[in-house]
Amino acid sequence: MSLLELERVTKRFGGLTAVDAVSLAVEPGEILGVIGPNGSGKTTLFATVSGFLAPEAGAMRFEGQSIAGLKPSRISALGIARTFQVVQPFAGLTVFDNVVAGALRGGRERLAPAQRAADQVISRCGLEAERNKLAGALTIAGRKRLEIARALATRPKLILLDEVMAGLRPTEVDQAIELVRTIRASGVTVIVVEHLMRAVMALAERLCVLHHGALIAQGDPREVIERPEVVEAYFGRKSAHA
Amino acid sequence: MPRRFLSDWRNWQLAVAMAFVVAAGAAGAFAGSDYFLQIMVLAAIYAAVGTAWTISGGLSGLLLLGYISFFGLGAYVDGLLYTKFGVNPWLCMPIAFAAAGLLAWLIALLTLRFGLSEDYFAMFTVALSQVLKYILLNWEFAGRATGVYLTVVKDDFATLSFVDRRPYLYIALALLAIVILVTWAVQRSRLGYYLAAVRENDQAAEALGIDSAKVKTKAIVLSGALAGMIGAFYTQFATFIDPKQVFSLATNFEMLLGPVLGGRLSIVGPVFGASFLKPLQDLLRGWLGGEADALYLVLYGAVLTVGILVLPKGVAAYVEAWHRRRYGNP
Repeated sequence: MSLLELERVTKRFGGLTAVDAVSLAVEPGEILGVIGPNGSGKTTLFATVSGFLAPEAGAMRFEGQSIAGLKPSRISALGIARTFQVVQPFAGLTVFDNVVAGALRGGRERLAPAQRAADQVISRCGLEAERNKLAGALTIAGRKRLEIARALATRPKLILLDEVMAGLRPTEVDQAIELVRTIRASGVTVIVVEHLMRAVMALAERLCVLHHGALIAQGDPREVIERPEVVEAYFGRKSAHA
Repeated sequence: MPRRFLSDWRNWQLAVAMAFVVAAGAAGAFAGSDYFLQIMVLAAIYAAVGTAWTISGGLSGLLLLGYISFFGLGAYVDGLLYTKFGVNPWLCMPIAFAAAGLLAWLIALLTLRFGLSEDYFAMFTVALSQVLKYILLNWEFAGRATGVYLTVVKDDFATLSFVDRRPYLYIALALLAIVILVTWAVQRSRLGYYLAAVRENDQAAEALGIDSAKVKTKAIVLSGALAGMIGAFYTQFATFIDPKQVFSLATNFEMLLGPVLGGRLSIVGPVFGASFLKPLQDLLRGWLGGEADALYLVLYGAVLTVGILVLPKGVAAYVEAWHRRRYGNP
């Protein structure tokens, strides 16, 4: 059984169809990459799967259970964690308290074990030096890491990483790639939405391409990015005069 | 006290606030005049209400501006149960706690489930307090505008009536101590983490599995229930209820002044804020004269607004910064 199954999931904003009948199956233990030009519906798809937006049509199943229409907190409790493209730290709290808030897993963990777990996640994500800093005082790379740490602290089965490498320096990107690899190695299934092709190609075992909300290609990353419809989505149609 | 315990800002506040409560009790024991004691009891009541408010208005980040509804309801629950049904005043306090908690739960149900936004929530709570006032002003059974008067049986601990003002002070301080303890416990608990998360960022909290509506509901209910309990005690202390006073907006804002200026995320903020501001307000009222009721409202509103804008974390933020340096936390 697939971990996550989407069946013709559709999300509209008025006349605009942001996610257009996307069908997709995510297998346990894989790293799935999702790419697409700006405005192609990647973030909307994440927001729909994580319960922040309700789909107009289609079915979403996680471990065989329907998750369409559930509140985000319920979906998180089932084992889907997400990060936000525009980072959303609890700016007035310390890094440690941010991660503890995740490690409490919505009440399924007691405080003392959650605090221990938070420290483990903090060291895993390389945030030890920032542990007692206010989250609002972190650099962008630190905030992206915190975003991952907090999501990871909920001990998800599936983690949705929304552009966690955007705005990072090359060495920071390498570290982030390594971090995502260790996350998968610990048994968590990963979906990465990423603009940075170097990162996606290094991580994804399978690649999905969205264009105008529709899934236009999926398969082996190296093969998918060569397909004409994908190239066209990114660069447009080749002019007759060129 | 062990340094390790005090190095936690919340524990340090608990220790300081409790020491202050004990000191106030001791000062009361030696206080000469009833007038002075009267002011102390009111200050303790305001401090307790202000501290209880921080659970909802501070920790959860909700703009619960119309907080006096719970206090007024508690006052009436005690007044009516005591005078009409002869219920023991000590028993009235937990009943008022439950009644105000129920009102708070209904408010939460109405506003949160229907997704009322922040400013509308604030207006709703203020409006509700005035609706309650007019209901009680017109309710025959509750004495209409005359309110409720209690007959005092002299010096009887069992019925919470004393000729001496001192026992009232001790009970008021005990209630304040309870509120302080509850607030401290909330801040240290899992609920405290959820409240902080929801206050800082609702969406991110939800993504971590925190049910923000449920968490806010808990905060409103606990906060409202505590105010109801204090309201019940207030009736026993004042021996009468004036509906125009126990649901007064001026009193409402007076009660919020301490926590807002003192620091609505702290414990010492509301405790010390109310303890010093309440007597100051009484002096100010004497100085401005009885005709200036509207002026107070303008004054409190202005101070409250400026306080929220200029000192979002109140004076306590500076004490917290000092505490951080003192105990070597970065």
